[in-house]
Amino acid sequence: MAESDDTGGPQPSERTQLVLRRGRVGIIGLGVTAGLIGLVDGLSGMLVGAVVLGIGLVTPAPVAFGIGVAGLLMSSGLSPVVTALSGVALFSVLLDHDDAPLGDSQFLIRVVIAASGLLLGTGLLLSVWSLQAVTVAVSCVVAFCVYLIHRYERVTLGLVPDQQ
Amino acid sequence: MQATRRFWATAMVGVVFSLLVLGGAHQTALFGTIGIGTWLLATAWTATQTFQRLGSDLTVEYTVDPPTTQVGSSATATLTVIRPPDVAATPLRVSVSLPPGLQLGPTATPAVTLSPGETAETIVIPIETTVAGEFALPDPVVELADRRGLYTETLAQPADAQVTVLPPEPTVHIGKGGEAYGNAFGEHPTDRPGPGIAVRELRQYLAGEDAMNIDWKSTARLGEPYVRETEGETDRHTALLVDHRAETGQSAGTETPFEYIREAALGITSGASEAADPLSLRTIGDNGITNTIAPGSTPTTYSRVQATLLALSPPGTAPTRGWPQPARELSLGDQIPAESTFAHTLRPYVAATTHRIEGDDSFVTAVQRTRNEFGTGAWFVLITTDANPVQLQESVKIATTGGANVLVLVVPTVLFETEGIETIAETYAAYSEFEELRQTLDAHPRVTALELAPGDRLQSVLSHGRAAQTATESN
Repeated sequence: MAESDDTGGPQPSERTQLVLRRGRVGIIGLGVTAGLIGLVDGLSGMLVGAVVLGIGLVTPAPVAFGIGVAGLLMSSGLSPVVTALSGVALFSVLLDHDDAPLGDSQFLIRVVIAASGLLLGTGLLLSVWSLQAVTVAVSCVVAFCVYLIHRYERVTLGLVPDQQ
Repeated sequence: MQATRRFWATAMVGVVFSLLVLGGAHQTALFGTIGIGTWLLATAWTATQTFQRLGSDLTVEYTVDPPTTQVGSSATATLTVIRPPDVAATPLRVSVSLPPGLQLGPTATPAVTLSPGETAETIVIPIETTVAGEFALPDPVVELADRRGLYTETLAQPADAQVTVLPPEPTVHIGKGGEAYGNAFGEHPTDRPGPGIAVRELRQYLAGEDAMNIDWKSTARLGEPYVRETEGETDRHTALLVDHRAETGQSAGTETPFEYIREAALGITSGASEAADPLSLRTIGDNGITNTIAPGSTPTTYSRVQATLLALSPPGTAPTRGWPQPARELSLGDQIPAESTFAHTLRPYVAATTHRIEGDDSFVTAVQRTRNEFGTGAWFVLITTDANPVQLQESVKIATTGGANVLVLVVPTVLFETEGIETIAETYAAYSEFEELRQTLDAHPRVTALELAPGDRLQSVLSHGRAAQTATESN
């Protein structure tokens, strides 16, 4: 990521030193994920877990989440239960923010709603479709919903001219 | 709502996970896709709410002080941005720009930036004015960003900031023969004593007068019958005729006769406004009347007249008919060999033309039409130059027909010409001719003819001319 400041904005400041970007909940979540990977895969797993923890502490939330998922992918022999526990732990990274233990409550609610909708839909579709088809469907739904939110925002702010 | 590079980078992470599922059937990777998708949806939703709150709760004040200034003077624009604390978690930037004709001061920073947590800031922007006119400043542009750096938005905040830049005021002289005339326009006595409001004088009662005119309080106080005479106040319709033909823009220097014509017209307008006199306007170009404003005594009328005068300007070129030929071209024409193709082609352009225009003169025609429209009830104010003295005399004659009073303000064009006027003596001689014309016009009992000139230039010509005369007489 080019920007080192998580808040971004019109004039982001450049920082040359690493800054802890995870709150307490996020740190715990990363620790759980790294620990589970290390416990299952032995020495290599501990190495992967250390990388996940190290990078996840100083990078933006989606990067930390992606690194965590990549770590899970690299680990072999993870049971579905362990994978699910790690996934829940990694979600805390998305919820957490560096200046608030669990972000703001409204953002938390939105994350829960979005996650619940996607997980529920994915679970239902997996019963009738293949994994690949469900993946494509989930990606398309996310893209379409983001576009809808974009259009809704422009209409409510009056940025869409009236058609003549 | 625009996505930033961070958004696209995050989305690419989700795409990578999707590709891993498609390529390797990794269920865990699907979890990554869901997680990234959840993040993008939640942040988009949050950013939309934030931008909507800021769009409705943000206060942007953008004013210019003073609202009216002059070319070369500076003005300042004040930009104030205020937002409630509950929407102060995101960064925000408000920037302004200036229209062509206005420039930022050397140290100006035309933007306000609010960092997360800041709720208000005010900046003062110095503005330099180089061109006259009315300027509407573009609305401030608000740049929003969400706190996670994934989305931005740009809004225009209506502010309606305007500034009027007036042309520089020349040193206007209005007078007779170089002497200032201090009562050209303003309050006007009617010379008709009688019933009214303003007291004119208290005088002794004369036998035979109406006893109802006796002022009993003064009589009781003084012991003899006295009459309190009042002035009959009237509204005088001022019919303003302003010349902006091509010759009014002719000048060898930076100032033109038209600038003085406009200043005088603005002064007339101001005087009529203060006295609440009805005012009408006719502006006269080379092809006739260019603007017409009906008589009125409302603030709207005076504003319209002022705006019309400020927007008025002479055309860029002089008319080809009736323009006096400079002496140099005439002498060159005489030197061309008589029998040659060159002479045959060139002669029509250097032949002396008469000053009297055959057919209709736009200024004379305009005065005639105005006189026919308003009759003798109006006070005609003609503001023009002496470029066409015959038409000027004809115009004044038409305006005075029937008993109307006329004020003529004439700009001596000799003070704006250096071509053909090689010495100050020639300038003084030409000015003397102008003064004869002005005195001829002023001799009429109902005409007041005044010179309208650059004061410093006129005094310079007069002082040199009189000094030369004195030296000649002493010799």
